Amino acid sequence: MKRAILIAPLLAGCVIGSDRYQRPRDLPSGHTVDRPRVLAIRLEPPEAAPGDTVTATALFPDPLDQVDVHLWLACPPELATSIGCGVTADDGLIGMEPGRPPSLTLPDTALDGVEPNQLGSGIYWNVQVMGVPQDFITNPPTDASSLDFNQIESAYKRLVVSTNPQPNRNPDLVGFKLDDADVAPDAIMSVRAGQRYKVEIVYADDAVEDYTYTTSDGVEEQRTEEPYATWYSTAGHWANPFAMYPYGYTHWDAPTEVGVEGQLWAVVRDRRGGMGWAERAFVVAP
Amino acid sequence: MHTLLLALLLSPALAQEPVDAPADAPSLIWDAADLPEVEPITYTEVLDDAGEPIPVDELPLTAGPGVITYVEAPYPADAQAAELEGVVKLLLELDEHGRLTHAEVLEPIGHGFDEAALAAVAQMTFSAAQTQAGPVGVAFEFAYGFTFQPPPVNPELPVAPPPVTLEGQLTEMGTRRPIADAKVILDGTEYVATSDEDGHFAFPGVPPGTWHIKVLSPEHVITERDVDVVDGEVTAVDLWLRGLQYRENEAVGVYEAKREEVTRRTLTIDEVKRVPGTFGDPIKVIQTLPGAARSPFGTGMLIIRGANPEDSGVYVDGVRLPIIYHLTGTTSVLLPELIESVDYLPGGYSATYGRSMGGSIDVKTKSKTAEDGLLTWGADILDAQIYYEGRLGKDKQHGIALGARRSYIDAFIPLFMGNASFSLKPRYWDYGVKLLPEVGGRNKLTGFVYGFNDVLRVWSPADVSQGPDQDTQGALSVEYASHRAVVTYEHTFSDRLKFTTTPSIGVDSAITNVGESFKLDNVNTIAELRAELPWQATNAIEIVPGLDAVGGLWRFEFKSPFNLQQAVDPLAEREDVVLDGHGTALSPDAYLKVNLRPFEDEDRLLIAPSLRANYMRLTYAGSVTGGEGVPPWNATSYDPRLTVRGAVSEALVLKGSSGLYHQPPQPFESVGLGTSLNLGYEQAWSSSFGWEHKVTPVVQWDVDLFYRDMTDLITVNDNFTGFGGSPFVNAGVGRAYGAELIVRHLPHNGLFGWASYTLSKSERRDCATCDWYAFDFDQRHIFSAQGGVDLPKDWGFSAQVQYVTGNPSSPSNAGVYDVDTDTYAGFRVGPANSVRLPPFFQTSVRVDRLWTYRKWQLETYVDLLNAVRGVNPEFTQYAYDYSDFAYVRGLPFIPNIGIEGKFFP
Repeated sequence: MKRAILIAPLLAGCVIGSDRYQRPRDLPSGHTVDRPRVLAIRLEPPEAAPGDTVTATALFPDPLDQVDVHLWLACPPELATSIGCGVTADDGLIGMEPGRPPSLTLPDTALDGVEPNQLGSGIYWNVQVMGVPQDFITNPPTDASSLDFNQIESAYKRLVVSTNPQPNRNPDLVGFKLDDADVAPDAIMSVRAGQRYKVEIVYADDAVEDYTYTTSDGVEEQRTEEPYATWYSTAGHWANPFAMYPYGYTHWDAPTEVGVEGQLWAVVRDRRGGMGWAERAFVVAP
Repeated sequence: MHTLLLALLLSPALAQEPVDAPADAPSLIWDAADLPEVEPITYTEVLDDAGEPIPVDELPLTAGPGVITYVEAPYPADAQAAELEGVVKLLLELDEHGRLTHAEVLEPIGHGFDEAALAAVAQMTFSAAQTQAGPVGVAFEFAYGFTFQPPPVNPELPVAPPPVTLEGQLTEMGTRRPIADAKVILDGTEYVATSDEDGHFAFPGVPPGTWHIKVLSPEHVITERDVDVVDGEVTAVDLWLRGLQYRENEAVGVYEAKREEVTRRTLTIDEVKRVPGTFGDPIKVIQTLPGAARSPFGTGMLIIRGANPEDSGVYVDGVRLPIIYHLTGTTSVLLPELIESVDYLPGGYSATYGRSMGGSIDVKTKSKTAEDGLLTWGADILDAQIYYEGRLGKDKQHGIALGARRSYIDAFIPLFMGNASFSLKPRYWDYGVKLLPEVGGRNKLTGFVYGFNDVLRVWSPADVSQGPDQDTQGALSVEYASHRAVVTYEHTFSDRLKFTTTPSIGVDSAITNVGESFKLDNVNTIAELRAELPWQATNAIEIVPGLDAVGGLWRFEFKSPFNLQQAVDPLAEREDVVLDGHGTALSPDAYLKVNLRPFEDEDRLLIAPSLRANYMRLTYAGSVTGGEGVPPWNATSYDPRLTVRGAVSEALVLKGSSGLYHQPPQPFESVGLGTSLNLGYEQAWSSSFGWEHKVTPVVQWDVDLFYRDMTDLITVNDNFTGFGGSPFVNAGVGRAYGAELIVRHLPHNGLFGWASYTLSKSERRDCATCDWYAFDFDQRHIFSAQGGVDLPKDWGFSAQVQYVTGNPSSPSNAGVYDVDTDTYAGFRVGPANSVRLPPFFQTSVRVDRLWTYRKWQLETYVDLLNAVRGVNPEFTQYAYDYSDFAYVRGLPFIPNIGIEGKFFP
């Protein structure tokens, strides 16, 4: 009896415990878009030569409608930082949306001073986009240190600037399937609450490029790109948010609440600076 | 012949009434057969009044017959037994020569008296009756008496003891050891016996009947039993006694009779096995002692007095272990049953130990084995093990101990994986064989072979990606193994000079693969030699020169799908990096210790200066040298050290130490890329002061104040540009200081326990002018209390409470998204390690029960780690965009159920 009295509170303590700290599983998932997010930046072309003009578009969902303006900046390597561009809007602004689509014309001197053996592989310019509310424009901060990046979504991408005779191209996606059935770009997928679906992208025939690479030993190698897809959604859960080429699919569990509307995105990177994406809308049906 | 009825009472005085002869007693007559010839007698003529001669037989007697030789008849046995006595009346006839010619029993009294009397008088000699003319034959009545007397005790003759009628054997339950010096009592009597060294006891002369036996032994439960003693037989009984205490409370701090280290804390094996949450691992228990910081997830890393885990050394019989714990981090690589003692040296140790700046753990394996053998097996949620120790040889003079263990969590993990997209398989095993041959003379010899092998594999199906990197797909496999063969030889030249040496060889390997892209394969073949020549030069001075040499061959193969620059550039084309290297390593460190004990009482004062000379030489070959000849690397350093211990009283000891400790680069730091290594030894100057106080023989407390100043710490080279440069430099600086307290109750009367508290601060800076920041494992307050009690009926209970300041952390906030890497870069808020995680608090309990049978014992236990489910953060995990954070929690509530059996062959 005494032993039972001793053991009982211990077992009870084993069950009760303390749970005052947030758990990692409670943290927001990077593959669930529940706030303004930059998911991708597509530069056209992704690899350019001095004198070329490069345009940019961003996959920038804003489910809460918090962003009013997209500010675009660009900077050469000497002004690049680990968080994008260390320039002011006056020096590096290349666009402001809505109204001024981003466009960058590289100077002819963009590769001056670069070692000859590096011209083929190139250097990086940074292209940065920031999604800001309207009052950020009317009352802009006076210095970068006052920026609160919890309030501002900022992302940057590397632009390859080189003399490569075969510059890289962005991978294109030509199809989207749900449980092996094609889904048109403007279609709204009707999904059942809580059900698991196979979601698949279809690469364009020329999406995966072959190219020549000269190693550091001067040996020319024929290589093939190894793109991969990263999956996002406004709701639901991804079984695996990545898919390595040639596997272009993964599985997604639809939200459990009927009536929820949202979007799915697949962003493809070719690992050489090229990007593409596909998006589809869904609604959870009874 | 005159017929003369003459009653002669020649026997001893009659004391008892004569016994009447039986009515039917036969008459007994003795007649002389052939009488010996005698000389004729010449008579003198005696005339009557008429002048006529008177015949001799008509003459009156002038003297009667006499007894010349009296013969005492043996007392008839029947009469003796019946305690009878009596007088036999005989009629005797003597001739003129005094010769007995006829004897006749006139009144038989039976019981053998008649025959005895007749036989006796037949042997007697008489003198003839006399007349005036000369001797004459006579007939007379002769009374031969028999008086009963108890047989006389002759002290010169031994008295035969009564025969043993009751005997037995006393044996201890479980161990089957004979019980000596136990009192065996027959209740209600004065019969008391003591068992001999073989446990045997015997009672002589116990009459037949039922007797109640009671056995009293100070170390055993009182045992009682009824036994029947049967007439004419020897009754044998076997009695099994239950011991009062089966715990191995033997204090094993017998490593050195002479203490030379300023602070050495020794634990008993029973204590360490019963501390909850340690899975019975003696080395993990070190973390409950002062000076040892808590390691994350209970992995058992040794973080001693603010030093990095790799800065402390673990030795087994003087040979350093490369890896201490299995990959689960829960158990060390040595079976606890093979361990005899674990000595924890947090600092201030002599020149015996080197190549480390932190603490030293000295593990000693078995030095003796059970004479009658012992077999144990055990299992818990992690693994199963089996162990045997015993003696070999005709006289059981050679000892042997061997055991093995294997994990089986790999079999259970799939049951918990559910729909997980990956598979996990951790597995480990270890073994050990210790030989203790008796070589005789002044020599001692032991051999120890041990090793372990750990494997971890993680894999997923081909169509399930493991992250976005194309070169991290495929199975992750980690395997490491180590094997050693150690011989220890000791020769005693005299009382003042001894020699010990410990040569060993071994191989260590570590293989890591990620799919087909990444591989790191490292194999080291090692030979070590320790030797000491302790010389007691005078009663006060002992000089100990020593050698601590390590040498070997190293080899590695490295394959990576990218180099360092490509690893941080997400758009860089990758090129395989394949490197290999091999070479030699040699470190023949030597030292000299002097132990000064100026007083006759050796413990009163010890002054122990020592000096260690360190040398290391590395050679390189292979592609890691860049194809060019890279000169060997070598470095030298010297470690002067001093330890002082003084007994102020029998109960109080003051102690202090100061010294220099050098540490060579770690193996992964020791290889330059295409260049010779430009690193040197790291070093620390450590000092301590404290005291030890014995409050009672079983309660003591220790205090240590320490300061450690570290320089030339190896840090990452910020200017490293790639091949041809050195990735590391000796630029770091560190310091650690604090106070340690331990209060301990030695195992006694079924109670043990200790409480330890450490207050410390440990800091680093990466260059001489850089800012200080908290050491990654700086824990300001470390408190640990553990103890156990033996309960009735072989139950046991032990508990542990720990409170530790949270580890430092570098806070980050917000982030900018890198589109090419698909990651956010967080902004650090404040200096490195400027905030702390919440404190760690954990309570663990253990309940065990020992069942003892005649030939074996069974122990079962339930060990509840984190019994009250303390939620203890181990490190911070940020949300993908650093907008929020959560704590990765430490070990949850883990119920470990175990069982262990012991057999005594």
